[in-house]
Amino acid sequence: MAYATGAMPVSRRTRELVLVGVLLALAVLVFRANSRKPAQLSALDRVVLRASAPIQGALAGAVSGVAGAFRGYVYLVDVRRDNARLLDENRRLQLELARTRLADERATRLEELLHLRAELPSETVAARVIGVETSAHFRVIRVRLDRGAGEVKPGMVVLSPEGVVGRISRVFGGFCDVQLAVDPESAIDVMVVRSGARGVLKGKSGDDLFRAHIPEMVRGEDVREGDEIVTSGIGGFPPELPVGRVAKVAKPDAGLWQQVLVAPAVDFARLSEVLVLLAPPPPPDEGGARHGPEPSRGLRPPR
Amino acid sequence: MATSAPAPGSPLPREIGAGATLAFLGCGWIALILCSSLAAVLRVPRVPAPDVVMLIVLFVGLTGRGTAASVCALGAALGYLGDLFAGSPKGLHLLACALLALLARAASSRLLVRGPIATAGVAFVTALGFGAAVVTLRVTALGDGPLGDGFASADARAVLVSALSTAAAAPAVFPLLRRIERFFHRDPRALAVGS
Repeated sequence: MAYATGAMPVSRRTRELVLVGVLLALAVLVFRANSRKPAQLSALDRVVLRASAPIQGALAGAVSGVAGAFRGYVYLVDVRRDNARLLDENRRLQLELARTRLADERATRLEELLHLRAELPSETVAARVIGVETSAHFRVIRVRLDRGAGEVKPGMVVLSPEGVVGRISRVFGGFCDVQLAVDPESAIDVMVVRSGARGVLKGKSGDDLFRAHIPEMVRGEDVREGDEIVTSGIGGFPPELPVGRVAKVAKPDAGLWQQVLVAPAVDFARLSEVLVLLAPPPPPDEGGARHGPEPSRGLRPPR
Repeated sequence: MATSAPAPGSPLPREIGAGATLAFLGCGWIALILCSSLAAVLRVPRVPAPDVVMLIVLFVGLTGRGTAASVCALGAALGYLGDLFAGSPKGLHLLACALLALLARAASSRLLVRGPIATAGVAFVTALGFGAAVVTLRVTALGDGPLGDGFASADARAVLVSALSTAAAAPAVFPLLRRIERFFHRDPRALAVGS
């Protein structure tokens, strides 16, 4: 076993510095390369993600079941006290009730998804949320596809009965990462229903309230608090899907633009099932793939 | 000079070791799976999960073990795992963790971290710097970013809350990591971080 003996020989120190330099240069290169093509996964990425995702799914399912049963148990604890004589019977019923409620909630959600699926122009695949991002600076969820793993591609649109969820960012086996509409890297072409004003919706990074905004809407466009925002139909999203409502309009003292803060229609904190639209993703934007469609600068869509 | 056993008064063993490296990587992987899955299921109001990967990199750096290159490589590997779970552009956490590992190793000879308060304090300051680095790298990668109205404050708030969450977890995470380190480095004279 080797032990440090104080001063390092110069040659060894130089070698160490070179190694560190090479490692950091490699790190920078990996970062630069992948920031341009974020959807590409290497063989190592796939191995790690395919090994992790089933565990995440199993863990999410197990914790969900235990938490659901526990919630049902706590909810009816007073009833059990009042009926001490029927304690055992109550416990059994409570657990059954909790399970039934969970099943009922899930059935309702799935029914809503089915209604949405029937209304959509192309085929869809259902998916269940099994994980969320581990960084405060990004908004991504991990989902398990019910079927059609080979058909889902990066860039495809993800929806819920409430509205737009986001886009597929990575696919590995039967699992995908979905970039939410509130992620700072997301860009969705949207319009105001009342006035037809258009802009590009972007996520607001680092905000725990899951908000998005339209940073560059032409100052003269008619937009007010409470206005409904829907997709414009450009950039792969079907037209007129609910995106959210205008929460605030900020007009700086000078400049061409006004900023519109949007409260999303989807409750991202409670998202459990989603639909992936199997329409082909929009063609890649060479040299600017991460930035989405260009803002319309206030042009109104044809009616 | 290489010897087969440490003589009394001789310097302590400085290598990380393959076993400890794999153990730290495994810890990071399991922690990421747990944080990601539990946050999805429990649906508590969005308090950011503690950055356990950053804590592991910080711990490894502060132990002062290993060469700069090996610590940097371990930090990069942990950062790579972080990228796969954070939804960030691949390489962002890799680069940030590699740099953090080097800085922590450089500071290890001047910084003695003992007790839960000191551990939380060091973790908080480090998490603030780490969060700022991640935001800066993200802005660099995207070419646009948090410079618009309200963005800077939202990012600053996220960095602050995430740093608080990480600092709160640090006094619980460091003892676990110390156990792992002691398991692989049983020399009773070995310095431990956070004890």
